[in-house]
Amino acid sequence: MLDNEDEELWAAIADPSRRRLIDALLMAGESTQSALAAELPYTRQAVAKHLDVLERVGLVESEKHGREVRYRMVHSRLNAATSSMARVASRWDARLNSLKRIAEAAYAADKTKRVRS
Amino acid sequence: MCNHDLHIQPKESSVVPKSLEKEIVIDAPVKYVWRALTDADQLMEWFPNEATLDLRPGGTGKFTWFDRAAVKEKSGTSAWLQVESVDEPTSFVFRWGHPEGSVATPANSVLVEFTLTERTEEQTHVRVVESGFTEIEWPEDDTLEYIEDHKKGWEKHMGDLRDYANRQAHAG
Repeated sequence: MLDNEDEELWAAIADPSRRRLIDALLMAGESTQSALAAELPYTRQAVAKHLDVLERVGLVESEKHGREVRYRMVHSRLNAATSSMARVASRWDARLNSLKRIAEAAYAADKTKRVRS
Repeated sequence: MCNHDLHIQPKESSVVPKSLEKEIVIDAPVKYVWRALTDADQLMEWFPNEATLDLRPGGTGKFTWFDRAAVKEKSGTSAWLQVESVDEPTSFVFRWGHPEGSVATPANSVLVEFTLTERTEEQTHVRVVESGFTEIEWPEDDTLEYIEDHKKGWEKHMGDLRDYANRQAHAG
């Protein structure tokens, strides 16, 4: 179950091709649409579409350099996705601790009953 | 570059792990832990605020968490469950996150696996693994619309997307 606040991030990241694009951008630091399309097994149009999605959720930012548009990862946004995952994980910690409390209390209560009888 | 013959598994971005795994040791016999884990009344004491659960493979359930501001109204977030397998007292597996009324699949839900191991008569080890985040499918064309609309709750949204995608799939 995912965090409500970050669902747009997840929609963007959910696609495996987009994740691969993210990895390529992380490796390169900065890249262009044509360079990415050349490096990855996706068409130029597909790359353009993916970059559009990533830019809309703030994971990627672009800058014009003459006739070229260069794309970069926005690390703070990427970190937000990682933190979101961390929150999901920590919710399980909390739940397990509560499960422990409930199960141990039930057992202790039964033990007390047995001792009394 | 001819790509359609290449079947290379895309390298997963480190942002999305394949699974989350957590564990804990409980000082109670395994049957107590099993009960706390699978009995709706007990579940409500530690997991959701409200729970219904049909504990058998294919059985469904609903977990609801009340909004702190609206506890009286009993309104909040709900998740629908689909039980995958039950092996008392060692294993309980379900899917969740899928839209209400739909069949849970790897494309629209994540998997939760609880494994209980008796360490001693009075001690149980519990492991939970939540997985499938990377397998969820988001209909491609809907993604931009979804992003514009991101204020809706997650589960309602998956339902909306699913309905929209189904309508699109069956139209013309």
